[in-house]
Amino acid sequence: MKFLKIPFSLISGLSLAILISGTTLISSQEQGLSNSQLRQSGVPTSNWQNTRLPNWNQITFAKMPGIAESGSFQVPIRVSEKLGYDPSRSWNAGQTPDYYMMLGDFQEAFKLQDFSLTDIAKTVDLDLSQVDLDQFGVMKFQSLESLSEAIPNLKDKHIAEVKPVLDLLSQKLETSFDSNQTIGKLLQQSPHLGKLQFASLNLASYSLDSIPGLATTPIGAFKKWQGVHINEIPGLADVPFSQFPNPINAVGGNVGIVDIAFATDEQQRHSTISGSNKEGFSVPCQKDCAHIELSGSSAVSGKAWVSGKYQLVKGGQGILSSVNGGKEPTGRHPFGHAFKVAVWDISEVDGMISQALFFRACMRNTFVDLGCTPYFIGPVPFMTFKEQEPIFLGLIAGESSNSVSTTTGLNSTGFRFKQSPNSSTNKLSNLLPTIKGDCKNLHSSGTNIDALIAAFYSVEENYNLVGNYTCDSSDNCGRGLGAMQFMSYRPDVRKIISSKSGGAKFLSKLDAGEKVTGEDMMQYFSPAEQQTLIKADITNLLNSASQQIDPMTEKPFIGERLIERAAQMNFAGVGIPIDTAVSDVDGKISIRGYGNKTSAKYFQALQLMGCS
Amino acid sequence: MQLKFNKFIRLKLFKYQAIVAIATIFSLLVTAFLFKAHIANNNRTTTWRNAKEIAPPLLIKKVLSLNPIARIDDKSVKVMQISSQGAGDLYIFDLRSSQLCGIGGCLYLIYHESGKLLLPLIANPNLPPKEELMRASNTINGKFPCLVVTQPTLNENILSRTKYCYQNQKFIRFNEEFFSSK
Repeated sequence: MKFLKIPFSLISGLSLAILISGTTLISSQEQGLSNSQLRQSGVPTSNWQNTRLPNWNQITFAKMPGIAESGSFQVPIRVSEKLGYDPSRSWNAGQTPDYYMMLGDFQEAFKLQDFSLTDIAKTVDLDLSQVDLDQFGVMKFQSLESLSEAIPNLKDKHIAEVKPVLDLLSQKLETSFDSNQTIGKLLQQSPHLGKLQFASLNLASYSLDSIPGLATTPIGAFKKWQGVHINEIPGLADVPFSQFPNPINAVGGNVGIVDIAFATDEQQRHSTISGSNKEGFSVPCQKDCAHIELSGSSAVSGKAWVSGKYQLVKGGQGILSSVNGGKEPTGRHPFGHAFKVAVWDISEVDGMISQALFFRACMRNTFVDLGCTPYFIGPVPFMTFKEQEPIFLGLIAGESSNSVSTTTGLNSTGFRFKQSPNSSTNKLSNLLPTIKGDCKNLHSSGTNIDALIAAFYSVEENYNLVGNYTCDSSDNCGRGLGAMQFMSYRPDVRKIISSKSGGAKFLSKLDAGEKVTGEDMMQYFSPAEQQTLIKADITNLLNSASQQIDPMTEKPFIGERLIERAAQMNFAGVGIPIDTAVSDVDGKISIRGYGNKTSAKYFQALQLMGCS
Repeated sequence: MQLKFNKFIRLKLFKYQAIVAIATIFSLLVTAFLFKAHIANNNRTTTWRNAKEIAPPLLIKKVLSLNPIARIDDKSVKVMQISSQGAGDLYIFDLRSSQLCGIGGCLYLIYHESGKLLLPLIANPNLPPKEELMRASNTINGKFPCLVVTQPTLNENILSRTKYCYQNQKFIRFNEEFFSSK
């Protein structure tokens, strides 16, 4: 509401200044969306309901991963003048957020301004007597008047008791003064002395406790505290996020499973849970829709969390929302509004994704509220997840959005992580059920048949499943039967069923589309028979694949490429062109992508079987 | 003499009138035929037919030669012909080969009569009876009708219709809607 008290002319003047001054508020964020891969972050985590969450007791600004890209933005001088401090900043790749984020940026989210130095010192076990006054970043903005107003009882102190004040007056006044009078009395008699700035002193020659009451005063009481960097407040960069005056917290409790990671080949994703505060968190994507598809509860199942590396949305508040072209990576706020969490790198090949954090700059003081920039200061590497791993989503409100995200034009096809996330390998073993399989059940090519079955079908042992009655193009009609949904018109399936007593009648019911129960079906097509059939199918696929020539090597398919090719054949037939980019109708997966994905699942299955 | 002359004139006039009448009737017949042909062309039922009956032989040869891996019986190949608004016909090839079908569906190829491949697609042909896998839509984009592909979903009795429309010299996925099966 403070904003409303500002004269309209000031608002429009500031708007004009921002719009006219070259490239809005000049931003060089575009490079933040380059195609470089984030390094693994090693964010400490804790388990909550089998889901990895950031362990905010161990995460501090100083311990956060370094930002992956350099960048900067510059505000027009008129804006700095109105604010009383310069919120412009630049950051270099590798810097932690305490170097480029200011207290004002977290005014609402963390309320860091409610901390006093004493509070911080207690939290991080810091001896303030060893800290020089120049390390307290607010001091450079203080005048004698503002300091006296910020610190209770300072006006009652004698000038001689407060050495920095004594030295400031001695330095600036050519005439003698009574150092035994109180600071309040001096200012009452000579108000103009209140303008004297402490920045003119060599603050490094004083300790923090040289100003009585300084350390116990909330930082927010000091003038222009908003423009102080986090690392200019002693100890603040080492305070865990859970210990802030307004501690970081999960917002909402939705968890999903990272079902499948999709690259930028994907298009037209309408059901999403990603977006922005401005556009809502279900912003559809039209093109280059790299995303993770979620499974789990009905609130999240089938929905897409689109990667912010490839899709931008509108963001920001107030006048500052025009920074960075008004755009920010699409994402979510599972931990509040201090930063945004974006799905970032996505590897279909590895079945793995990384997250990145993005910060924003907010500019507001008692008199001026310019709002906040879009969340564009990043990417800061965050957590990594593998397919089938639970992922925390926060609050799912089930909203709708009329807008569409904008592509960054980057491409993720074929992207691979340079190394496995250090968090996933062991955690995965704890989170996923082990797969039953025989490490010695090998095809002549060396491929483990049980692992390949697991990779193909993610078998949930629902052997009694009976599918819908359908017909194919050649008017073969029937139902999908069992865990692998073998069509009842398949000759080998019919042979098994018809060999049983009453099997012929059961087949005629299937052919006619009559209802049959799972229990009935299991009498004629047992789990063991289903398994025999799928193993025969897999063996045939591997036989066919290993006889084809890999165009990459011009030799028969072997090893990982054999798995990929067998998967391609399983998806679209043994005659499907090798490595073709042809997709299914959903546009969700290509032949090549399916091969890569299945190969990754195969090796994961081997691991879960204890075979590797 | 005058009588003979008048008779001659009347005879000649009748002859001309007859010629004009015949020509007019012929023109009307031709126009009606062309109109009927035009109407028939525009209302062409899009059904699968043997490729050899409707697709240009060179196009069939091209389609079959592009896939050296799969064994395709050219007698089994089915084609759906779809007319455009003056931009040449489309031919949707259903190769009807078990070697081009898997758990994801079967390979379908949409060609322009010029031989240009406009859309390759893996589609699941297993649909409830009476549901059409592919059809031309009434929507025209770039002189070509959009194509609608019906697919099963994981939900029982719910099907999806995905519309592909011509844009930038190929068919691209346009939208998807869901509906209850018949």
